[in-house]
Amino acid sequence: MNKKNAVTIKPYERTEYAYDKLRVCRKCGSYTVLSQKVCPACGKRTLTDVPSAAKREVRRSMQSERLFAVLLALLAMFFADTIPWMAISAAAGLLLTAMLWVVQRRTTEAQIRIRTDRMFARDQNRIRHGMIQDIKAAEGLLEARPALAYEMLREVNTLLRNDPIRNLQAELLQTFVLRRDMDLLLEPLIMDGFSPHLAGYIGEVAKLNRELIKESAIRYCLRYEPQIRGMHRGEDILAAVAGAAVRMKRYIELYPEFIRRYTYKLPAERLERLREVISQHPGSFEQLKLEAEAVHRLRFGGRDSHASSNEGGQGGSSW
Amino acid sequence: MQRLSAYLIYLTYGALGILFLFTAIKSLLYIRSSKKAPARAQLDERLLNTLNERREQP
Ligand SMILES: [Zn+2]
Repeated sequence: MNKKNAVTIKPYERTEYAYDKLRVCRKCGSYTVLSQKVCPACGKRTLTDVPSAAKREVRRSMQSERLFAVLLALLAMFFADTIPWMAISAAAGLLLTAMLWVVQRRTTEAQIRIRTDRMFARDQNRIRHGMIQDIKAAEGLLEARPALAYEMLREVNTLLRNDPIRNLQAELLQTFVLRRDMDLLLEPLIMDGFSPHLAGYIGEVAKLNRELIKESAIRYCLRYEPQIRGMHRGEDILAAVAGAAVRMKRYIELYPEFIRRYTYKLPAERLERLREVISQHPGSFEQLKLEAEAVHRLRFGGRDSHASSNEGGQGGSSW
Repeated sequence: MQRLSAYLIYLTYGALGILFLFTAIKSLLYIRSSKKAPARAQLDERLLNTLNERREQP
C-alpha cells in the first residue's frame, strides 16, 4: 500500500437541487459546476445559475410581447379618423396590454421553470461537454493537488453520476489520511460495478463514522462480498460494515445473514450492541442470536463483557 | 384622398382585432402552460435523467 497523504478537504456544500450547482456563461454559453463567477471557457465573469438565465429569457420575451401590443394600439390610434375611435383605440390598447401584463406577472415563476426545463433539454450536449471539461480540469490536478482534484470531481458527481467518476474519487480518497471530522460522502460514491478502491473506502468510513453506512453501502458489500473477501484485509472491511449495520434494528432485520457471517470478527462493543438489540426482540433473529451468543461465550467464557463495552457509549442517539 | 382615408379606418379595426386576439391567446397560453409547469424537483430529476441516461438508485 502506498503512503497516505494528510490533506484537508473542504466540506461539501449541499444544495436542495443538483442543478443549483450548475452555472452557465452569459457570454459563451458554456456550462460548469466548478466556478461561481469566472467562466472557465472564456475567462469572463459572466456565469449565472440556470434559473436566472431562464428568467432573463422569459422577461425579455414577455417584454417584447407587451411592446408588440402597445405598437398595435398605437397603429390603431394612428389610423383612427375620428376622436372617439382614437379614444377607443387608446383605451383598448391600455386595457389589453394591462391584462397581458397581469397574466405575465402571475405566471412568471411557472414560465421560468418551463424555460429552465427547456434549456436543460436544449443544452444537454453543452452541459455534458461542460462537465467533461470540468473532469479534465480535475484530472490535470490529480498529481499536483489531489485533494482539490477530489473536491472538483465531487462537484461534478453531483450531476454526472457514473462509475468512472466515482471510482476516481474512491481511488483518490484511498490515498488520503481520512479523519472522522472530515465531511466524508459515501452514498454518491456507491457504484454499480465492483471497485476495490470503493470497498476499501467503505471499510474506512465504517470505522470512522458508522452513521454514514446506509442501506446502499451494505447492499454493495453484500453484492460484491466474494470480491471483497478476496481483497487484502477484505474480511475486516466486511466486519466493519456489519459492525456499523448493527446500530439500527432495521439493518439487522434486513441483513441478518450478512451480519451473522461476520459476528465472529465484531469488536466487543459492537457484539454487545448486537446482543442488546437481539435481547430487546425475543423470538426474532434466531440464527443470529445463536451465533452472537456462541461468539460471546467463546470470547468471554462465562464472564460479563460490560467492562470492555464502556468505550462504546459516545453520547449519540444511536450507536 | 377622401376615399383613401375612409379605408384607413379598417386598419384601425384590423389593428384592434389583432391586438385583442394576440393578448387573449397569449394570456390563455400563459395560464394553460403554467398549470402544467414542472416543479423544481421534476426539473432536477429530468436533468439528471438526461445527463445519466437512466435513473440512479437513491
Ligand atoms: Zn464563457
